[in-house]
Amino acid sequence: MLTRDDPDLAALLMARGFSVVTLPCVRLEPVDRAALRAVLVTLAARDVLVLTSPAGVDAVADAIDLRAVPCPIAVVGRATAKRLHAHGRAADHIASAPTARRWRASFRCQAVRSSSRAPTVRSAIFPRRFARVALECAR
Amino acid sequence: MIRVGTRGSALALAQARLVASRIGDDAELVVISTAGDKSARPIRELGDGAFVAALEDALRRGEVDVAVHSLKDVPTADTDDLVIAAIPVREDPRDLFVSSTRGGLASLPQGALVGTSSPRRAAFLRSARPDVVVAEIRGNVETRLRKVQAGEFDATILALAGLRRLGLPFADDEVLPTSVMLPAPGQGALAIQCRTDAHLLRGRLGALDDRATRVGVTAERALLRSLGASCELALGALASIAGDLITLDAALAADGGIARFRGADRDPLELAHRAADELGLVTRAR
Repeated sequence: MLTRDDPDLAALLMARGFSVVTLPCVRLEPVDRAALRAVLVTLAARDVLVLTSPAGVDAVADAIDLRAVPCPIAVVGRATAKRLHAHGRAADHIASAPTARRWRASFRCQAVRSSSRAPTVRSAIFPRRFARVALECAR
Repeated sequence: MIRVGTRGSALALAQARLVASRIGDDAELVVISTAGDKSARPIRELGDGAFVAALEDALRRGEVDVAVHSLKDVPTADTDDLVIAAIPVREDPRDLFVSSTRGGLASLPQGALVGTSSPRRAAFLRSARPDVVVAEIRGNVETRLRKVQAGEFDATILALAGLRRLGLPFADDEVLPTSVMLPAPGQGALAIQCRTDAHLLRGRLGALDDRATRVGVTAERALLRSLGASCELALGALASIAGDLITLDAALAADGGIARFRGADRDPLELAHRAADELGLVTRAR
């Protein structure tokens, strides 16, 4: 059973003899672009923009020019970093797993390594509802 | 210590003190003189950002950590190495009409001489009062007030925010309604600027940022940028925020006429683009 709508992976599995049932558990919907824009224009006053998926990167890129984002961008996962790169911007921080603890540890670790980075995050924007991470990071 | 760079005029110092007090006890002022202060020529001959460039250079050289500007003086073009880390709550953005009798625009006699070096103020004033004569005036707020008191000019137009920050008195009659005189984009707001890579400092400054002000002035400045971003442009723009709805009033004077725009949207950039399209269309048609 495939829990996401991924025809390429389904075709690959079927070619190898699997019988595939696709049951998507996540549905992507267009974001409220106006609301997103009204938040994204405040990025200069934020510590970090956190992007948690390639789809999130695309949504933000549709609203603003990612190359001109005036604060560090942290991403969750290499696929997200790769998509960000495709939009012309390198990720400042990459967390390897989308859990609050891992993200915080990863961010802090990189913050310490690069002395110019703020070690704690006071103000972050999470286009996805990722409030628990924000709370943990603010501690 | 956090070194807060400012121009040396009384208004700039008042603004910088305001910001320094909000940053904290560890903020100190450093006075930097700018091309705009040194020159007696009109601002528009010095080019955009005449008041801003020297402070920006001081930031880049590491002589100051923070620069305080009047946002309306800051060019709209992005800079990679510097960032407007905070735009605090805006002061009243309207203009004041200050005459020698201090009776406001209504009491101004026919054919009076009004000093302003702003193409926007000159155009909107001429539209409201075609009889007045407009002439170039230079100098800071005190100098302009002195020139009016001395009879060199019958009146001048000043930003209300400036007089209030200087603690100078004014009457309600002297306030120009926005239906007559829309302010410059960003007027009444301060820009607190620092280096983009000053992450710790940005965290502190970000706490001074007012979201409604930031969204509103972003719409105004995006409009200015779309129309060519020059201080020679006779553009008035004022955004107001109610909940998540942004209302933008704008007026562009060109070729003897004034094109007006009023619209609302939740997206500040979309709203600015709509305003630019409409104003551009009207003025091009003339």
